[in-house]
Amino acid sequence: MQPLAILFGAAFTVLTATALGTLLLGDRCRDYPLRFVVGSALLSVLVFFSCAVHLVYPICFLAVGGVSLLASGAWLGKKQGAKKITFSVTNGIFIVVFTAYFILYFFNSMAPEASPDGATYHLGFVSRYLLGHGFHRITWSLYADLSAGAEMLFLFAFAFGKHSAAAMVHFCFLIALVWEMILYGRRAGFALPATCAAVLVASSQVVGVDATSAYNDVALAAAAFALFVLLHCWESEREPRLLLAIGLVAGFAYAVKYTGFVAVLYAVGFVAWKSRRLRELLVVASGAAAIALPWIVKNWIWLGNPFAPFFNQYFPNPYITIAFEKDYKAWLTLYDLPSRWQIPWEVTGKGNLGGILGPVFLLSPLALLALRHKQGRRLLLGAAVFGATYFSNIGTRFLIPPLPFVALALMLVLATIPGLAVAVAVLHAVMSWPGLVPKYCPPQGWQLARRIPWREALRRRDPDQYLRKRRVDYGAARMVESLTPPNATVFMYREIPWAYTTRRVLVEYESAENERLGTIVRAAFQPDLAPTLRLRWVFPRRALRGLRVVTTAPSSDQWSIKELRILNGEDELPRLARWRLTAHPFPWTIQDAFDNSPVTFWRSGEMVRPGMFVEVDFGGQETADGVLIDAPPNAGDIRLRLEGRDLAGNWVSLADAPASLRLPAPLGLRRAASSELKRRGVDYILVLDEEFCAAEFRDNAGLWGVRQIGETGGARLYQLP
Amino acid sequence: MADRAPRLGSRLGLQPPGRHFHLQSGFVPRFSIWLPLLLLAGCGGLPEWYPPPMQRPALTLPLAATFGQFVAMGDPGAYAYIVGGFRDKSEGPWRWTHDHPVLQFWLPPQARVRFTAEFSFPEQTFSQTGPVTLTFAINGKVFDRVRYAQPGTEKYNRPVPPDLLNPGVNTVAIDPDKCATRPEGGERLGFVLLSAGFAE
Repeated sequence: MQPLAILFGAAFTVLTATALGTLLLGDRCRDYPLRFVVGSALLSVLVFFSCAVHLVYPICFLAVGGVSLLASGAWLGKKQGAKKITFSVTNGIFIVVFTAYFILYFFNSMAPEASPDGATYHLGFVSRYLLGHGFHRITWSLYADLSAGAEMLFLFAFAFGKHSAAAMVHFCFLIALVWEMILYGRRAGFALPATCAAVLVASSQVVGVDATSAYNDVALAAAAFALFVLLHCWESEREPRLLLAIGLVAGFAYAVKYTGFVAVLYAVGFVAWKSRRLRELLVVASGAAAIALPWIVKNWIWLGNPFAPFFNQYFPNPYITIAFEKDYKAWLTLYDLPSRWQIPWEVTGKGNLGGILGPVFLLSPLALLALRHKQGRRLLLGAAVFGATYFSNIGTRFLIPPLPFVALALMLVLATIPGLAVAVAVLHAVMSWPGLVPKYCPPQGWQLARRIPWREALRRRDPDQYLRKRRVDYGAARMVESLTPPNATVFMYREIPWAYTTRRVLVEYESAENERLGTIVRAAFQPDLAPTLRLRWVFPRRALRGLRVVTTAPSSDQWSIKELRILNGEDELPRLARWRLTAHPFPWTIQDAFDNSPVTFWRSGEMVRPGMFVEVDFGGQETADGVLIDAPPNAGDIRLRLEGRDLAGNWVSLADAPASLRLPAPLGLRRAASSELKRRGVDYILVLDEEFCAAEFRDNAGLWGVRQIGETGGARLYQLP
Repeated sequence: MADRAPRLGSRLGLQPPGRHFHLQSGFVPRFSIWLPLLLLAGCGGLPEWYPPPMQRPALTLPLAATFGQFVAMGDPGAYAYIVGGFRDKSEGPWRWTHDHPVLQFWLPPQARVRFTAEFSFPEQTFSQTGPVTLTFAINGKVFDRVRYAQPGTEKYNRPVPPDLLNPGVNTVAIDPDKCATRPEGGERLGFVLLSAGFAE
């Protein structure tokens, strides 16, 4: 039954999308791939609104699909004279190549989903939306903030066929892309080069792995190429209905992946350049907004940042810190490479950036020779537009959207020498076969299995065993599911394939709050984070209405305060209910510096710059003569000044640099840390044996007050007290 | 501007006034005002004010305390831990003891701790004393005796019975049974202490 459910889920989704595209485009565009992509945009936004109103039920999806299919079927029945577009290949070699790769990808996409991101956040949220019948506010993972246009289609399929159905929908985007490339080439008068280019794209290793997983890069590539084709169709036909489709597909590109925003600029810019009519521009912009805006509004309402998890500097919020965003973006621009000059070899043959395009793509610079032709210039413009965002994330798969344009332009050039284009395409197809890739590419995670997993796809072999073999940490996800109660929350430092558990999984780097949880644990046993520095200001006793500590110089670290106490003599002023606390920046966690706990803390969330402050408004008058801050050791390097608000309401300087005293870390930090995690809603901690804290939890479980309740494949699950 | 509006409108394919109520009603100009304001709203919201939160049980040292539960002799504040029985000055990271060195430490209530110390018997004094037995006493009560038969650095680490400990200040004496005597001045030297204190 499960294989049938998978096939039904994927097929029903693709047919529904194609039906919606057919309804919109009518007779204006007969390419099924274009109808599918345009309809995907519509279906995606329909599912979005289903999520928004909590109507995510299989029965609702059946109704949407049924109505769409019936409506489009009736419409098609009236258009019997329509010219039928059929797929044809010019050469028997291509039939062999396409058939071989189709079989390879079909069974890989149908096999249990084990990809790094597919089995985590892409389908993790999809399964939760289905479980909760719609969206709910998620602040604990930055991945929930990303636009998820493709995931909406995955959700439609997932409702019937679970994980593999979603992956198969993504595979259909590859079919649509390759199909459309061939159709475009035939129409533009270069069928053979276009077919060769389609082979290049279809057999590229990174494309194959991506397309057969619940990722979204191939969906973005299909949307980008569909947009390109639609724009050129509109340019020649000036059919108004195409403008709406252009807008929808451009918006869909953004909805699929943030980097697709260039599609909107491309569409609007192209139409503005060719038409200069405001009404036509408005149609395109409205179409794009209809698909893209819901994601922007959702983030704005729930997270205070329409473009979360980016642009936090302009839209400050408690969920992602500026410091994290800066580090994250810096890492994505170079990964672990020592130089960007290594990128060409890494993305074509070495694979350290996550898969390879194939060594043949080292010929890509030759594509520039296509600038001689009009078609070539158009294609290279498309490549430039959709490759423009590549250096924001240099992973190989981020080259997939411009890949069809590059491949077409390259083949236009190579086709000037008879037989060369076909030879290069066949060579690439042979070299990219999973069994041959390891001959020249070092082993890495981003590879298809050498053997076609047809038994696993048809569920003739236990999916559980297949997943345990493909992913060592799959067992950890199942352990979490089996040993914890529903609604349990599990904290961990590294991601596991949590699409296979229904529990709430908090991964340290995925939100500011998770980072705080991680630091609370770390600070309980790592001396460089423990509260071992005490800063003390003393000033002549006086009546004040408020106090603040201000930074006076920049630093390459964040500012962190474990506790801030205000003194009168040797006594601490009691923290009265009328007091009001704030900080700049990151005011949202300032209470953690006033809760009497040495494990909680306030942190600036960005590197220290002059003018940051932590402030207490007494809401009345207090007499004080000192301030004391407990902080981690690095706080000693931050230049601070103490200011007070006098009774007239003016800020006056009370003292400059504080005296500092090194103290031992308080006893009981571990127990306090685990209690604090519990108080913040965490029930369990999952620790992998190779992680920095594995020995600490194993050896000192008693001090933490935790109890190991499970172990599998090098992962241990601890229950908090 | 008055002349330009109709020309621009016709060029952009707009209908005469009355047909497009949005333009007629000023929707576009109004929207153009509200949109930047909405965008600005996303950037605002700072600072935000919060009341003091619920207070957690204290773990930290009392505010007046200048000592905690562990000391390294090289620390600038190590003097605060010394009650007596040490040389006045440390020699870098270590300090000579006399025949009755006493330290003080601050402990929270109900602490389950080990006493840990790192010390050394230098060759020049060990040649005088021979094997040395150290007697560990907490708050005046002996809880351990250990014999050291070789010169060199030693580490001591043993759980402490909770009933020997007080919440707050605790004194620890580490008495050597034999001391060496310096020829010049007759100073009695026990052993060299590097660090001592309580740990979890």
